[in-house]
Amino acid sequence: MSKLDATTVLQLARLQQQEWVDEATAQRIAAGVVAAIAAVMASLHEPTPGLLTRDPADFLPALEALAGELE
Amino acid sequence: MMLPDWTLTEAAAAIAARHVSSREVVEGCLARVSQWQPAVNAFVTVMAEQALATADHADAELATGRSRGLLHGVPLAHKDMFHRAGRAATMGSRAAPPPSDATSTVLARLDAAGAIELGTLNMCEFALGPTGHNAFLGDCRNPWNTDHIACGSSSGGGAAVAARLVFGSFGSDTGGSVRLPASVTGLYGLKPTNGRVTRTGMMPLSHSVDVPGILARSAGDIAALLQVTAGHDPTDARTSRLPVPDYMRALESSIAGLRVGIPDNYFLERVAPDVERALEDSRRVLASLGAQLVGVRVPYAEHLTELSRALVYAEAAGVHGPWLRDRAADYAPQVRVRAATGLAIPAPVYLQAQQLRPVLLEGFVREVFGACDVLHLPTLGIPVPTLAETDVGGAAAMWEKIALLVRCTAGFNYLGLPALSVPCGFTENGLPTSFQLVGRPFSEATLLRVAQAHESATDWHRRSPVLRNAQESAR
Repeated sequence: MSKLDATTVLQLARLQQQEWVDEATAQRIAAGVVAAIAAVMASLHEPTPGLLTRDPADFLPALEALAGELE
Repeated sequence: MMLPDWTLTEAAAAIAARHVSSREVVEGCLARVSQWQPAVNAFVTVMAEQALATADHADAELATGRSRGLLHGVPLAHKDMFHRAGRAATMGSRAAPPPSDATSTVLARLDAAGAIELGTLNMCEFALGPTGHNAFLGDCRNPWNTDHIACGSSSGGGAAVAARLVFGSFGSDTGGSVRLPASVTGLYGLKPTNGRVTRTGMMPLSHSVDVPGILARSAGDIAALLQVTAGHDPTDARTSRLPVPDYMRALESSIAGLRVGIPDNYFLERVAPDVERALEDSRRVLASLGAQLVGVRVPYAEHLTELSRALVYAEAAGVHGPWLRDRAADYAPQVRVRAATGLAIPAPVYLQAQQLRPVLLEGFVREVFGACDVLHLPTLGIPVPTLAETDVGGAAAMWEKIALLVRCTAGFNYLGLPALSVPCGFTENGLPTSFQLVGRPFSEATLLRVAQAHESATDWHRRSPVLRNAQESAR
């Protein structure tokens, strides 16, 4: 799995005026970010027709459309 | 049966029939809070005078023949993140924002159904953590053994309901924060379908993933609390307009012929032998009641937890970014990291995780619920860890253990599906364990029907922790 170096995280944090982020925190953040990005990338490789046309606001209608008969 | 042993629905029935007054029930709960609070630290505030005054009013109403509804005169308490007008919620943090001028819709609906609020409950700081540690409020402890975690982030809800301090509790579930505390304290814990229960007035952690959830001591109690809070809220655009079923009536139906799916992959890996034995017993109970057990392959299973984190990290950083900028020192160090991880999530990755969500949901429902009616899997695949094992600076295996806590829960937050933790026994360390039921969207009634059937054939929900043991092991 590719790595994200702590320096990059520190720079991103500084750009967002998060001056408190230190090297150790940046390393922890990097580990979390790498795992999350890897999961998204892996899922994008699954066949997902129509993916790029989906609006995130479609989620509640998707849930409602998939509801079975309500007891 | 003594008052503390009653379930919520039993207490409500006894009050409605005037076999006991609401004041007597509230006084009984307050007495137990006095006994248990030093050992478990479940409460943030106890509102004794206000609760007793409300109880007297409830009794007076009943004397004139008026009942507000299913929860008339019943004491509850909730995670300290639901706004009530004029009251400051701590949100588990010294960095919490000022009090709101409006009451959350969940609290307003509980008030309307006659519930009495006994106080506010401990939680992980800003709901950012699965263990129940809290450096500001003090750690919440498991009433079954106070050396062990109550899990979180709705830690006080699990401890308070399990110790019979109140009859039910609302928390929030963004990655397992209701189901995990329920699992480790021997309770039922429901994460409803996203959109079934309003979030208005509930502290946001992750706007698209958060959902209010319920902790209680029986399937019927969960049904009652869901019945009075579910349904469209014009102030929350992400609540569904689908009709709310009669959850109480659904409990009465048989599960004969219902297909219960047992995962072929992922969820039964890394499960401890004593948890697996309890799971197997629960499967046997369901089969004896006529359910049909079927093997099911669960798609995307290994990615769902991290997909959920892609959303939660990014949205939590959006909420906490401004506060962190000014008040980072007021956050506990590990909470600060969780709140800040989204600072480095690229925007396209966040959007792709959102775009994938309905697509993966459709594939999941088609594949899984084409083969079964409900999924049966662990809530927590390991015995309940100790506070020391999961504390900052703990053993080297700490992060591994914390990751295992949400391994079987967080994925269903990404998919937005309803999930219910059901008590099913104890592990070798003497603490409770559970199984988890997951259904298609808005199938809470089906999950409750299965849980009720299991409950009718077992007595796990009647077991309660004993204070003597808790006091002996309390520090």
